[in-house]
Parts: sequence; structure tokens; C-alpha cells
Amino acid sequence: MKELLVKLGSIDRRIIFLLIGLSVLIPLIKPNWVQLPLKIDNNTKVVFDSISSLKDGDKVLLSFEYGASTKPEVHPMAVALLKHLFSKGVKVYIVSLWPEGPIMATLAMEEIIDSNLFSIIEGKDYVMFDYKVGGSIVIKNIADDFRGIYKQDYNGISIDELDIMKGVYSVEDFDFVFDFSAGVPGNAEWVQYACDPKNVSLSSGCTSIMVTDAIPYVESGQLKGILAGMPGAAEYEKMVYDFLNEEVENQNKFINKNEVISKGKAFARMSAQSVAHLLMVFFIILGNLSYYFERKKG
Amino acid sequence: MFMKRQFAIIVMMAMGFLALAGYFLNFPTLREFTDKDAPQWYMIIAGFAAFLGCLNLLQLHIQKVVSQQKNWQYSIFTLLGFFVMIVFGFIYKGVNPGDDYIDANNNYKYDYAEVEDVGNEIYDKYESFEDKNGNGVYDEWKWYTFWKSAEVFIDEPDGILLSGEEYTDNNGDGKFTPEMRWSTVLKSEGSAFYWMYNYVYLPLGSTMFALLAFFVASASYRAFRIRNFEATLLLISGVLLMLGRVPVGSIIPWWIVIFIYVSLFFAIIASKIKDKKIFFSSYLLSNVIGICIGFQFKWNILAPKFLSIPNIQEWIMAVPATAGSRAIMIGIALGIVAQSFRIITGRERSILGD
Repeated sequence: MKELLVKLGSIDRRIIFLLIGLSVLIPLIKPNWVQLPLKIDNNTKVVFDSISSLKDGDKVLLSFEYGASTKPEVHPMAVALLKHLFSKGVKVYIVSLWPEGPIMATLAMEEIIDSNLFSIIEGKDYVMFDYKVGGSIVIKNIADDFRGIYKQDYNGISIDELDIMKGVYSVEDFDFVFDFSAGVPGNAEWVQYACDPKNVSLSSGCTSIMVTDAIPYVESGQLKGILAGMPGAAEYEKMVYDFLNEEVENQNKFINKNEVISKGKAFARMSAQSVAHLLMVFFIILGNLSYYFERKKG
Repeated sequence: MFMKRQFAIIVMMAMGFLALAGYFLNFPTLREFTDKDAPQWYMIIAGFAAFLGCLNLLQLHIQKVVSQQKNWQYSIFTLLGFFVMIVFGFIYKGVNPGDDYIDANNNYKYDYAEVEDVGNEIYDKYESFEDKNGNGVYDEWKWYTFWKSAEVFIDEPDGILLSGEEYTDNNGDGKFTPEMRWSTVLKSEGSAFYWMYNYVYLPLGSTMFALLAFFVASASYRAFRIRNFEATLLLISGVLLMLGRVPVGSIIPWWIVIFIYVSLFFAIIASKIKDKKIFFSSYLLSNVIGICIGFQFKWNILAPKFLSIPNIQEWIMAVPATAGSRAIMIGIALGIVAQSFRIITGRERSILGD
């Protein structure tokens, strides 16, 4: 037994790769095989409550700062948040500080429009702006002079012609800012250059790897909660799903009752992540047992 | 030489002092400069810098291929990707965006993507194209009519259908597509650039990121070892975070958490107890006592927060992780102050290529 454990310490990495691959693949292909309850994290609850407190006609600025590599983690939370906002009749303004941001925003909006859940019109209920180079400086400009940098929307229509742009001059004219972040510029820059100096509520959804950097801002209240990676996205998706179903029963005028409300993608991916994490813990225990016996032997 | 070195330093110092002064002097013109003009200058310069970056990338990889430096073969793929995306972005537009506007029944009313009038005189997907005033002219987007009173879809004899000559029948097949512009081609679903992004770059990007899972698993198997106290702490907090952030963490029972606590405690005091029999018997006894206490306090019905893995994970993130992050952030901020001071006073010249 001891010999076997020592041998396992130098197991071929390809076997580990294979097992990890299977642990992810099987729950994705057969989601019914692994069904686990989802506990809602406190930070996700704070985000949900903050968005829920918004009223019909409030203005929310969304910033898309992720791309292809981080799409599986961040995109589901963007779709869930858009559903939540449109279900409350909130006006949505989308900016992008990453070159891929506009494509991500377009994909998210397409998903919302294709769901047919909301009767939204571009230019009236939501507006998109193109990518602007400059990172944190763009954030600073949005904070001071929004119209100074955004002269036209994504479709090339002058913002003076857009009904939705009436009364929007700086970040202070928004009731809430939400940042989808996968790097720099990201939520830290929004805190430092715009929302904290101008006292505008800010929240963020980011990749798991970024959470440790963002958590001091959450603890200080500069970020109203955080959607942390895929688990955060899954938790938020679940809360929005329950909320939308409840609102349909309450005859919410912004939701099309005849359409089916879907759960979202992150929720389905959590089982795969659970099994993969369990397997990693198992590997760590195995590796340490092997290390212990190896040292004893040596 | 003066322009390259001294002049560059003078500009750098002057701009540094000006930007800094804007935050300390209550002088409206200066404030206007630091708040509005300087950031806009920065954005313009950053735009050019991005262009220079592309040129630099090109130069670097061409040099690598020409001189056949180490791993020069990979540079071919970089250059190939670079040029392919340039061609699709600027030159080859690909399929026009989807032949969206079709006169499906030759009635000179142009419907959106095969969506027919279902009897409500509204001709498009999502009810967007509406004959507002019954003149047989179908307007694009309701808000558009509000602002522009746009008689958008007008069948003129020249085959050009819309205001602004935007929608033209490019190939005479009776399908009317928006005129493609440089910026439009990047945003249109049917374009080659969009296709390349959606079906090549997007899956490749996600794949690269997903590969991390395999490397993390392999690395944690080999590197996450109980070598000393610090490594043990790192390992335990890592495991708790891994389990606490996923649904499986919430179904781990309270007695396993007691077992983890007891194991952690005995791992710390292991070096103090020489006799193995005493060590293992006290370890087992502690576990049994812990579980008995649990049943006595009915933790099997409602476990306290300190025995729930997700709650422990939340605590780790909120207290030790926050403390560590703040320390790092303060350190970085002090470093930035020192570095900025060196740049502003002209001592730091590495940015000039020194």
C-alpha cells in the first residue's frame, strides 16, 4: 500500500489531465447525474439587492471589460444582469474599455433580444457605445465629461438625437454603475477614478482570479457586493431566474409572460466545477500521502 | 539628440508637474486642463500608441522569422493571424450582413429577414418595422420615427431603398442590404471578420483559458505539499476556498470540518509530541470528543457557521485575504509614488529607452 502511494506521487501528468477532462466533461454532458444545491454567497446577495432597489427609469452604466478567454466566466453574469435590469424598466448604457468589449456586449444583447422576454428598443431603453482606447483615462473622462468622449452611439447616431441620452453628462447622472471585469482596466479603476470620487454606487462581476484584488473594495463598501467568477454568476443567475418567475406572477409590465425564462449557462456549469474541485482536493491529499511516505522511506 | 533626450525629459517633467498641480492648486484653467484636456490628449496618444504597437509587433516577428531565431516558426502563425484579421477587417468584407431586407412577395414592401406581415401591418422581427401612418412606407425602429420622422423604406425607381442611400441592392437579386462601411463590417454578424472572431478566436481564447484547469490540477498535485507551517496554512486555506466556492462545499457535513480543525491543530503541534502512540491516540480521541460535542449541541440539525465550509471560505476572503490584499495595495501605491517622483523629476530615464 505504502509502495503504491509512493508510486502515485510520480504519476504521469497525462493521467491527471485525463481525469480532470472527464470530471468536467461528464457533468457537462449529463448534468442530471450530478445535481448539487447552490448556496448563495453574501456578496452575490448584496449585488442582487442593490440592483433590485433600482426603480423604473433609473439609469445604469455597464462597462464591458472582458474578452474571448474570460467569456465563459463573465458572460453569463452579464446576461443575467441585463435581464434583471430590463425587468425593472431600468435604462441601460453600455460602454467598453476593452477592444473585445463591444462584441461581448452585442452578444449579450442579442441573447436578451432573442429571448423575447422584454420589449426593448435600442436608443430608447438601452444604448451601446464603441470601444475607446485609454483604459483608466476613459473612466476618468466618463466621470467628468461623458459627452466629451462619446459623441455618437455604436450605430453612429449622434447622442443628441437619442432620447435615452437626455440629462446624461457625467457619471453622476447614473444611478448605478456595474463593471464586468477580467483585468485592467477593471473594477479597481472604476472605484479609484469615477465612482468613489463622485459618490456613485458601483458593483462588479469579475473572474475568480480577480476576486482577491477586489475584495478590499467590497469590504470597505466601495463596491456594493461582487459576483465572483463562475460561482457568482451561477448564484446570480439563480436569483434572477427566481425573481423573473415571481415577477411574471406579479404581472410585471416589463416582462413578456408568453416567453420561457431560461436558467442560464453558469448554473449548468457549476456541477462540472464542483467535481473538478473535488478531484483536485483528492489529488492534493494523495500527493501529500505520497510525499509523507516518500520522506519516511528516504 | 536634443529632441530625443533633453526635450523629451522637459516635456515629461512639465506634464508631470502640471498634472500634479491640478490636484493641489485651485486654479480653474489648470483644473480644466487636468480634468478634461489632458485625459483627451492621453486618449489620442494611446490610440497612436496602439498603432505603433502593431507596427512593433510586426517588425519583431518579421525579424525573428528572417533571422530564424529560436522558435521562429511560431512567429509565422502570429504574422499569419495578424494579416488574416487585417484582410478581414479592412479589405474583404465577406458576406453582406445576412441579406436582411427582402421584398418577399414583390409588393414593394421590404420585410426583415423573412418575417412576414402576420396581419397587423407590422412587418418585422420584434415589431420594429411599422407603417406608422398607413402610407405604405415602413419605418425602422419606433424611436427612429420619433426623432427623424424617417420615411426609411422607400422604394425608389433606382433600386436604392432608404434615406441616406444606405440600403442598396448590391447584386440585383432583390435583396437589400445596408451599405458596408469600414466600421460596420466589424459589427455585422454576416461579415468575415465577425465570423473569424466568433468561430475561431472566441473558441481558441476560451480553450487557452480552460487549459489552466489542467495545469492547476497537475501543479497542485505536485507542489501543494505539507513541507512547513506556512505551506500547510496555504494548502488548507486553498482547499477550503476550492470547496467553499462550489456547491459541493455546502453539502460537506459538520463532522468533516471538525476533523479538518483537529487535523490542523495536530499538524501544528506534531513536532512537540515525540511519542507516536500518544500522538495518534490523542488525535483520535479529540476527533471523537469533537463529534460527541457536536451531537450534544445538535449540530447535526443546525451546524454553526464556523463548521460550514462556505462560511469559512467567506471569512477567509473577508479577513485574512483582505488584510493581505490591502498590504499589497498600500505597498504598490507607495512604489507608484516613488516611481512617479523619479519620473517627474527626470531621474527615471528607462522610459526613454535607457
